[in-house]
Amino acid sequence: MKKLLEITLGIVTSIGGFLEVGSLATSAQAGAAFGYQLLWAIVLGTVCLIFLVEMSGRLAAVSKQPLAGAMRERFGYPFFLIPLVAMSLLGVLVLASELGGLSLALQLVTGISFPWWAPLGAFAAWLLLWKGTFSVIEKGASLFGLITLVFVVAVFRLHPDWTRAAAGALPSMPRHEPMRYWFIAVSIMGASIAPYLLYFYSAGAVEDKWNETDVPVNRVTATLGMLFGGALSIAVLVVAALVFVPRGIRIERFDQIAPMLTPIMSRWGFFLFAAALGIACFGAMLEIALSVAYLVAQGFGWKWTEDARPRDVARFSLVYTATLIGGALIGIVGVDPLAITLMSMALTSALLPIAIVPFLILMNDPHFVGKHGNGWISNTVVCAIVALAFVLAVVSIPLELMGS
Amino acid sequence: MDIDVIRDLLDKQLVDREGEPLGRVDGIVMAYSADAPPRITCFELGAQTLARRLPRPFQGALAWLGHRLSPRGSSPYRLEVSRIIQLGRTIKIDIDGTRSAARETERWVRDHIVARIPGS
Repeated sequence: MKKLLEITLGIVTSIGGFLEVGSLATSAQAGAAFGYQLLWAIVLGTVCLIFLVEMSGRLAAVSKQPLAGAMRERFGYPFFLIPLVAMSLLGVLVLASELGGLSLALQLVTGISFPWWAPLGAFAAWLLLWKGTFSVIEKGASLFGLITLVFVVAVFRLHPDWTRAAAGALPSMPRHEPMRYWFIAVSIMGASIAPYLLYFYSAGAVEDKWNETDVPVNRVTATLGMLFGGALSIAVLVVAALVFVPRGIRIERFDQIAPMLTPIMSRWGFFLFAAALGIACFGAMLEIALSVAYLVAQGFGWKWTEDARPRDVARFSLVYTATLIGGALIGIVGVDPLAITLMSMALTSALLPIAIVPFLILMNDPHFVGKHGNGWISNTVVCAIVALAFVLAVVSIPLELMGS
Repeated sequence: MDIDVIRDLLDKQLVDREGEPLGRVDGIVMAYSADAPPRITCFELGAQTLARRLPRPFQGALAWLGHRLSPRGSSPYRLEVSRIIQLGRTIKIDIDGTRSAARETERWVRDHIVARIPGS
């Protein structure tokens, strides 16, 4: 039973972290612009994420250390500052995109376009972190997150051509708009391989006091959870391909994604989409704010836990508060939510090596993982996918910036 | 037991006798005199110590920031290595963390910011 509960940790991580505004927006845009052709980017991203999440759980279970603490210890403070600063700023940026998604959801449900949805959403997330415990957040997010299964239901209602969809799982050259194609591919990979998930997951594993006996369970959890998240992203892409392509709709603005489920489930579809978007984004906001706080607090050796009163973990609570305020400020300034989402996801791909290369070195250091070090398969797969995402990002981000 | 100063001491998590976090080993202090072999005397904690470990262009800015943000001002806090009671995944020091200056910033943030927010 306990093991079963642990598996929910993997599922919640995937719902909050996988199907969030980044995956939703990038998958929907990919489906609308290129049909099934970009499915491979989700597949690669998911495979890479399964390996990485499994590693972060294994590191925590064997070394009893969360990722951020182990990084500082292994590489020393001066080097540690680079991922610390890069990932914290990226966290604030991604948080702003999630707030954009949440604001859109609230706008869809209420019909009120309101610039203050973002700070209100940030305040609600803060309140939950301030008053809630890790287990409330974990269980609440996984329970409510199940609503995102609506995309899977939609896929089956649409009866897609599975053979054609499967062909999209293999990478292919674009037939039109190559710049757009590669930029979306990079954004999808950045949305899938979200580094903050790793900090969140390993902190959760330490908080739940995992040890070496949890290594096999962790493997199952990471694989099932991330597969579940990947399947949801694939479902979004397939629905977008079948709904938007025949109607000739190109996604240029965020709210164009909203009527995605309406042709399939009419009025219900509209509200289910809004609910799924809102809940997924809200869950991701909680995870990102906590991840930044974990990263900073563990790196500096402060007391951290989501299960204590804020006054007992003052600096930790201050960091997630500041992260949420930062995200809300970007929201108030009113940057185009779709643009900031795509850009922050592409930027994630570009910054992946900073987070992942030191992590891989840790996972091969017997001083930290003992005999539970990485095998050559996980090393090779992660290196190859991260390198691909990085190269594509470095090439396509400047092109996209010049183009727009 | 052989101890590798960089691998086993620097940047390690420090905890008090209750096992509660004190911070990390930001710096290591060594004493040297002509008539005795050099020996490690203290661990140093604090923004100033951290700033000194960075490349020169960043040092000034971070030291200033640390000075402004830290309630203790600029002086780093030292923990005697003679008070080590356990050396493993963390370094356990025989002090009472609730009163230790190592947690002064934590207490300051708690009293001046966090405790003033309702529900804390």
